[in-house]
Parts: sequence; structure tokens; C-alpha cells
Amino acid sequence: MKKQACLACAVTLAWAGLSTGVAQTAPGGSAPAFSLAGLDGAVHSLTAYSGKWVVLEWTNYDCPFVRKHYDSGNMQALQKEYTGKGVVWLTVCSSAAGKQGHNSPRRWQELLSAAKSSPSGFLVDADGQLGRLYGAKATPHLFVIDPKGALVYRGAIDDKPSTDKGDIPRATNYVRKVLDAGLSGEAVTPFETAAYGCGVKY
Amino acid sequence: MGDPFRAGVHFRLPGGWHLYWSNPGEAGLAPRIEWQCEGVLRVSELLWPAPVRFAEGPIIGYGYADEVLLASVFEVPPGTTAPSLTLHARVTWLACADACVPGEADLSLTLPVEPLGTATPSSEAAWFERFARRLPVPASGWEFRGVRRAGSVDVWVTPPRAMGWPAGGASFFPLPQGWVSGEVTIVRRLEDWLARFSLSGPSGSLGDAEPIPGIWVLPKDGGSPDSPAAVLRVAVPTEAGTDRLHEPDATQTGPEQDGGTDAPAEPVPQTPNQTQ
Repeated sequence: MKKQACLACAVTLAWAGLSTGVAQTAPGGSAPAFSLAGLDGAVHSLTAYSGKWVVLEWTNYDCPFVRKHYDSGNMQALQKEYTGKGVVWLTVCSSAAGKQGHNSPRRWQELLSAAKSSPSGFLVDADGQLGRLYGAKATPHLFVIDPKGALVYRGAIDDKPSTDKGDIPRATNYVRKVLDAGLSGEAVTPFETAAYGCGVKY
Repeated sequence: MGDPFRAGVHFRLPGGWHLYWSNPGEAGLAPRIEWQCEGVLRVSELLWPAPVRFAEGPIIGYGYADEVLLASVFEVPPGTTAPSLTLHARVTWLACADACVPGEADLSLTLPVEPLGTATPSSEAAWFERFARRLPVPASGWEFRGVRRAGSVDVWVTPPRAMGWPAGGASFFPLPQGWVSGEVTIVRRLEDWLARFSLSGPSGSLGDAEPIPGIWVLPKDGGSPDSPAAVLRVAVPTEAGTDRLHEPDATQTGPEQDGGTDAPAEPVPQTPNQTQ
């Protein structure tokens, strides 16, 4: 069963991977389909989440910008709040084997548990296919997909590019802004910002 | 005293590490200097020397390796009587190699205040000169106009006088946060140069129809990043394009290009060392 899912996963990503680097979907367009097994073995497929808001959060636990949002509890609080409201939150790590931020699935279980991080799923994207499909550049890099499958936001987590936890309380959190509007039925105009963070270690 | 002077922070990095430019590129963070000084009338924004481009796998960044001096211009009121002036700088930065390490420092510098016209350059003046050569200047006399397509831009460059395209090619560094450009290739060379390069970034930093602000760096023949021929600050006005650019009155040399005319090629002034 798992093998079959992975075959489907390989086919989906391989096809999607033919598009050139520059042609990643811009906000307003359809978010690229993907299908990837998570840490728990369950397959996370974007089409299966049709009808729900989906957040993709690129991470690297050794990056000081990620540590800003995790040591403060900011990211975990967002994950908990919005999964509680029916949002599908997927944390992704595209660090290649041997590069900073890469961990074995068992080690990721330990790290997530220690951080008390509870996304809907955690995707180990060591071959970088999902990262390249979405154009993930930095960690953290956030993507928000609406229930119709449109990419409505990609970019920074908030408007204070820094490694300083002290900036979090007075920052405008873009993910929160988009989800709060979307979940209350307001129209969300797709937009994007420059992500800040460490380069993804493909 | 009364004369503007420069003061800055000199960063020195171990091999393999880099700092970032004001636009760090697709990841990273520009250094910040917060100056606190009493008795100073005005402090300019930081002066950013032209950066170099580096890649971490597919991620493009702009910044500095080895060392850089980031300075501001200070002005004190003409009637200053104090014998000295103390500048404080709160400096924060991000240095990356494989890992990224944030840093911070509180620095102070006390400067003697001398009567107008008698001040002598400091022992560090040579550093300022060296990095000043890489500071952008307005591109007066040059003309730039561009056509933007999805993911790339064609820029027609008219230099202030007939000159050969520098053998070292050219680089373009976009200023808006998160924007990056690819290698500049010259598609045609006449009296105007047609430069083509990929260009991408978040729409939040630069709109579709906005002029593209950035720095052109034109290296001298055999030049190093330390002494480029020209470092020009521009805002390239652009229009949207979908097809290859057609220039009905263009003449051309070299191989047939898209959109070329049948007119016979006109001789183009050739300078030595001119390469395609």
C-alpha cells in the first residue's frame, strides 16, 4: 500500500518537475499537486485536501530564523490554533542528506515531540522535489492554499525580517492575516512577500 | 567640522563565509547599523558597495565575501566647539557559510574635531577609498529601457559615448527585496547594447509595470570586483512584452538574429579586446 503511494508520489512529482525553475505558480494560480508520505506513514495529497485551507511551512531546525519562531513558541501556537480550526498544516523539510537541517524520520519524531510541534503532517522532502515544485527558497517559507486549490499567499511568515524573538509580538503575521480572513469567508486577494530566512539546503 | 565626513564599520570574514547586500537575494538578511551620536546634524543612509553574486545550490544571494566597509556620511553643525565627537554603532548582521550565524556588536569611535579645512584623513582612509570605487553613482548620460516578459527582461543600454562592450561582461543586481537576476547575455551589439537576463522575485517588492531599480556593474578589462569600470544606479523603465523584440531601424553585425532586418550591416567602431 505504502509502496503504491510512493510510486504515485514519484510519478506526480516527476511530471510536475518538468516545469522550469522560473515558472513556479504565482499567487492567484493553482497550487501544484503533490502526494507525499508523512512521518506517520499517511500519504498527504493536495487533491485530497480540496475543500480545506492548506498551509505549507518550510523548515530547518538549525536555522536561526526558524529557531526565532520555534524557541518563542510562535510557530507551534499557529499550528495548534489553525489545525484546531480545520486548516491542514504541513511542515516540510527539503534539506538534502548530509546538509544542515536534515534528520532521519526517527530523529524528526523526537524533535517535533520536544518542540511540541503538532502540524497535520510532517513531510521529509530530502530529494527536494516538493521544495522545487513550490519554489521554496528560505526557511521559514510559508505557502497558503485556499479550499479551491488556489495559492493565495507565499512568502515570509511576518513583516519583521530578523532573528530576534522580540520582534514577534509587534509583527504582522501574514499567515494569520490570510487564514483569519479566509476562514471568516472574506475574499483574500492573492499576494506575496519576500521570504526571510536561511537558504533551503537542497 | 562642518565638512561632511565618512565613518563606517569594517567587517572581515573567514573564508567561505559571506555577509549580505541591502537586497540579500532569495534568502539571508542585510546587516544593519544603528548610529547614535550626539552633536551630529545628519547621518546618511548606509552606502552599499556593489555586491557579488553567490549561489547555495539553486538559491541566489547577493553580498560580500572576505571583507566589506559599510559607511555613512555624517554632517556636524559648522559652529561645533566640542574638541571631539563620539559615534556609537549598534551593528547586527547575518553571516552564512553552510550554516547561518547571526551576530551583533556595540561599537564606539571617538573622533577629534578640527578647525574647518584642517582635518586630515585618518589612517583608515585607504579602506574608504577602496570601497568607494564600488559605490554606485547615478547613471547620467546612460539610457536604459526594458521589455519584461515572464521571468526575464531585455534591456536596451545606450552608453553616453560609443564604447565597446566591456570584455568582462556586465552584472545587474536588482534592488527590491528578494529579487534575483541571472547572467547577463548580450544578444546584439551595435551602438546600443541589448542585454538579456532572467529576473524573478516576489510581486510584493516590485510590481509588473514598475521601473526596475538596480545596480549595473561593468567590469574593466582584467578588472577585479574591487575596481569595476562603472557601477551605475538605475531604475529601468519597462513595458510588457510577449514577442521577441523587433526593431525596424536596427542594423546588425554578426549572425542573423530574431527580428533582424535585411539592411546590410554597418561597420561598428571596434575597440581592441572587444569580445561577444
